Amino acid sequence: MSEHLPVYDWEYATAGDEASPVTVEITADKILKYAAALRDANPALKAMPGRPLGVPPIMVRVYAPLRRRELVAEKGARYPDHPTPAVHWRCQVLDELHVGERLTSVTRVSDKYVRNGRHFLAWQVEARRGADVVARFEYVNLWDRGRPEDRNR
Amino acid sequence: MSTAAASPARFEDIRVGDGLPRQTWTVAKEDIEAFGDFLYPATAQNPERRGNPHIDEEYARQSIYGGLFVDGNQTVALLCRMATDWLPPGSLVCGFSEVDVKFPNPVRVADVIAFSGEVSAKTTEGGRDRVRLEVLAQNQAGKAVAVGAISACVPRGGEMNNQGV
Repeated sequence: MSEHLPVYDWEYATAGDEASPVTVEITADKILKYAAALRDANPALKAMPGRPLGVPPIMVRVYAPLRRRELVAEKGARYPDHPTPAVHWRCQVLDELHVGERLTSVTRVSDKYVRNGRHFLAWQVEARRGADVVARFEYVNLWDRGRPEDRNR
Repeated sequence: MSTAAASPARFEDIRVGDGLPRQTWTVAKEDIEAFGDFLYPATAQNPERRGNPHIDEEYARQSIYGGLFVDGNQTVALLCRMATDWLPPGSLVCGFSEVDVKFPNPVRVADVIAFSGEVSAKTTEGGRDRVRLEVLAQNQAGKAVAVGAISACVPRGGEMNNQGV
């Protein structure tokens, strides 16, 4: 049972921990859903004959999924039972991306650090087309349980 | 931030110091749910929904944060929307872009968020035109909830072509 597993807390996490790779297709359907959810009227996100759909930066979360829970499970642990708010979001798209292509990505813990007494985990996901990295996503979460004063921030 | 400049049709029309038209968002639970349905689809296999403080209201209420807070991904998406609403068509979504944002404070339901941005640099390198925007989102108390930069590739000719530039 998962409740007997150790919690993947800051002490348990190790920089370099890595999840198994996953391959995801960039689909028009998902881009159109993104535009609808955001009420984004950008014409580049509308299906038009003869014109490719654009791929918004936030789509990195779809074609290069973060998969923290999968990584935690693969490390024989269970995910913390408290929220882990994001403090930093960074994405570099290093090439053109196209609807219909399949990218393979790997999630890893790239760093762990303490700042102002709070514990942070940094994650990195690299998406590759063959051997080439085409997008890199970095995400930092507060990994502590939080403090009472956080309720009023 | 400077006064909003007219939306440029081409890279040549963009000037350093141009301000983007401000956008505001009064955070509604429905908006959070819509974004949650996009990023964390409600499928039986999806482990990202239960215990997700952006969409699992009971879980969020019982946490130390006392309620739902907005997914940072959604805040970034809205900053990007502000950028693409102003930039020439096809910008940012044609690849060769970078988004780098920090979240100093949380965004909560009913907050009123003001998004703003300003052009801080224009470069042409390797045959690609890029614009760097300094971007900011603040809540109704004037606290920054997102601050960072968006570097967008701007397609030549004002339209995205099959090469994405």
